[in-house]
Amino acid sequence: MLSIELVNVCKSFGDKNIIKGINLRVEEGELVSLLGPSGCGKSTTLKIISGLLDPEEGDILLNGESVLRVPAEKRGAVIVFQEHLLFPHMTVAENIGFGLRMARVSKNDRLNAVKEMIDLMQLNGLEDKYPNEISGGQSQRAALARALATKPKVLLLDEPFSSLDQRLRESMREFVYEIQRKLGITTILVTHDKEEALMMSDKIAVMFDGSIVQFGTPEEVYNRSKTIEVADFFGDNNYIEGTVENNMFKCSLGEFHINCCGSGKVMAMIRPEKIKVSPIGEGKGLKGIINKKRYAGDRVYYSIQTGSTCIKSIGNAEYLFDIGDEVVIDLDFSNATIYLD
Amino acid sequence: MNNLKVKFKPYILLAPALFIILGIFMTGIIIGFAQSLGYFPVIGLRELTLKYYKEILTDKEFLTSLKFSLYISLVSSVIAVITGVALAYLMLHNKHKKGVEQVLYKLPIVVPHIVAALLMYNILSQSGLLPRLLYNLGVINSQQEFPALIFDKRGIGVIAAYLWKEIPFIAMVVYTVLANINDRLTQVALNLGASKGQIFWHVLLPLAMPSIISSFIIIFAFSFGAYEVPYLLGPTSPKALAVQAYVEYSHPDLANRPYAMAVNSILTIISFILIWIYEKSFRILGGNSEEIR
Amino acid sequence: MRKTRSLINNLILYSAVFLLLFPIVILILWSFTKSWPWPFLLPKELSLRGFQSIIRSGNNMGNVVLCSICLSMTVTILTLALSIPAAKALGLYNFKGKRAVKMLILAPLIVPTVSVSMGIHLAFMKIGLANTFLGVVLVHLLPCLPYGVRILTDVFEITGDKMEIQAKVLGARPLQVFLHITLPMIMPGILSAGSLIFIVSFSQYFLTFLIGGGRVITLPMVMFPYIQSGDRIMASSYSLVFLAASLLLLIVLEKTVKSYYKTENHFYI
Repeated sequence: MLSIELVNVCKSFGDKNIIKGINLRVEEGELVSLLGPSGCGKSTTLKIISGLLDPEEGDILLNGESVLRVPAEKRGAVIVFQEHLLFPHMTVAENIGFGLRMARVSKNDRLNAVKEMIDLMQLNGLEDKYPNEISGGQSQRAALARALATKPKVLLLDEPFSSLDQRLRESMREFVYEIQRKLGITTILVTHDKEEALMMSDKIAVMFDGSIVQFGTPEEVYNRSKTIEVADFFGDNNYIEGTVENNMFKCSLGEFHINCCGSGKVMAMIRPEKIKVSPIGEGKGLKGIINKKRYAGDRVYYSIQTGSTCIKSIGNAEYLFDIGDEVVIDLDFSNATIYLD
Repeated sequence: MNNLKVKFKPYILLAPALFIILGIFMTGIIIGFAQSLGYFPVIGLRELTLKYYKEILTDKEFLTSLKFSLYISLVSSVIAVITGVALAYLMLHNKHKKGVEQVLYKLPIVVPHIVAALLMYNILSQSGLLPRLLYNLGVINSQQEFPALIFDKRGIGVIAAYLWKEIPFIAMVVYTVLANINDRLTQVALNLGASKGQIFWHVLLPLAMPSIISSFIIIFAFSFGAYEVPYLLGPTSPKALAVQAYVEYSHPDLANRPYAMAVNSILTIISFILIWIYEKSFRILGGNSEEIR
Repeated sequence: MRKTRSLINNLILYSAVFLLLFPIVILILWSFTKSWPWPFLLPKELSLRGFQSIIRSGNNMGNVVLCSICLSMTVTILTLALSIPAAKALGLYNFKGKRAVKMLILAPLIVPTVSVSMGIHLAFMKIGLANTFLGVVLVHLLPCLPYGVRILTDVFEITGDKMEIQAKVLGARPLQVFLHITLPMIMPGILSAGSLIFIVSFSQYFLTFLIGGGRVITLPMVMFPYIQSGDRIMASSYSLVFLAASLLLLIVLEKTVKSYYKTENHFYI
């Protein structure tokens, strides 16, 4: 297990610049997510780390040493793909033992390692089955077992749960999280699912268009999103234009206290779940009328008209408002993130 | 450094195969072409001339051979395609045993053209099985009354031999393509109100068209330039082009060689035109259909 | 109405199969015939004269059959060895000139091999390849390569290279990838291409005749004069031997390869 670092990595295909100078450091035993929309270069980055692709510029360091010249089969950075890619002509056990067989590990050691993996990944009973005889979840676990059996230096997961259905995805997430913590393998997870990234990672690297825009813990990335792009990736937010002066935020909705140094035109962003909505008469704040409501089981999405602005709010389902209800919105701008124009 | 290797990899992989193709195939064509232009150093001819071409292109015998070969190829290929496609359609819509497919596919492949010629000879010659059947049914009264289908100017025997091999070939190719077309497409068409026949005509057939055309060109080109079948079953005159070419080639007077090569080169040129049509047909019908090929 | 339609369809289909099989039956009858004069519909007398003649013939049939099998086996192995890398290039890569290469490799299927062989004959004589086993092998590559490349290209296109990439990151070196992953996965393609190539080579007459010059004698070379002469009994007997040999070899090929690789439906995901 070791640390991995990307230093100013660039990659183009033809004349298209796919990766534009990426710098990333993953500490030993950490799980870092590469989060971003489809096509932003996340999978390409994984392929570069594993050695399947060579960067035009930049370096890749494993434990401080450059592995740029090391071919993919010797690097020890194993990728688990979205399509599990289990070898169809081998049994589950043979698949899991593949890497060890290629490394000419003795038969005994190999069989023991495979047995360990089968137990760890709860694949008991499936050892002699072929990939087309087992379920999607079992296949993904087998693919993971196959990767882990080789005791990789770095584990690279390329959207491994995308092809599974919701419930399976959630249980696999938990499963992988536990395993990763238990084995302490340095892991990079590529995903476009924000929940996945938030729930599993030690740190998140948000990637747009070939560059890492923000790198930090899930709390940092979510609550202190560096750019509007990053903030929007995590949800549908409220944006209010206004000016800041002397810790006061002036906008069309009024004047509010704010923690911000500096002055000038700004955009204030408040996440919908931070906006408290109360029935009229209870609580303080701006008056508004509910004009949209979407019930989602454990929460409700509201759109509230106040003045000429529409405020989005997410509330718990304890108290259900109806369209047309008059409500009071508590806008606490100390919870806002400020973006300078 | 790795990137350079990646760039050249496909060419390296192709090198051995291309070496043979260029070394034997292209060289054979080029030498033949050179000889047809009079360049034949073995017997001292070094001047390039078009006289051999001029002579054979105005030679009645050659022109009849050309017409004959074209006629045979066209007739046999067109019938093969129409019948083959019809058979494929029937196989698609009928619950038949897998055995039918196996036989239709495997048998004609295992039987070489010269044996196919023998098969037709056994049945269609004047002492063959067909006239015997007709005689026993009282339709004809003697061997002579049965028309000469072998060694005749209409080349019926030749065409029959080609059909025996080609109809199953086309049927299986088209059937495979049709069977692989996504079920959902036919379901959508059905849902929109199309009948089975309409689906076949408007959806399946166009999608299978590239394969049909490519198969057509292959069987056409093959029958056009084949030697064995027309030699065995064809008339003494007109000879098929390939037979004519060999007759000239085996002429004891080496000075005759250029004539042989001229015939060969014309055969080759026509084939290249066919290749060009083959290529074009794919482009016109859409590059996407390549996957179905 | 549907039932009669389906009945008619079935009738047509089975008649087609009948028309296909019937001539073979006649062939078999002729090969076992002693005498079958006009206008009988069945042979008057049966015998093994045809086959006895083959065995006793001065053609040394054992050698001929062996030579044919050896020749076609060599051609098959050589063609596959050339086709696999070429098909990999055409099936997995995109490069400049790909279309031209594809056409070039396909060309021998369309351009008559008769013409090409007449063109290369002299050159072969000069190099000393004419009238040799090697020369015939080389010229057989012409009609066989297109089939090999075409079939295997399709296989590579379908299987893709994802499995090979996965094996690579798991630590397999290029040779290991080829032996453990690529080869097993394309084995069905190799089988079908190999069978086809074998048959194509086994069935060749003119190429062997011209380039072999009478020194390389294969089964078609021995069969041809009999078919030409109209001696139905002998021609049919020889043809039957040919068909039996082909079918036998194909079945043996299929069985040995299948058992070695324990293939079956594990390939089709």
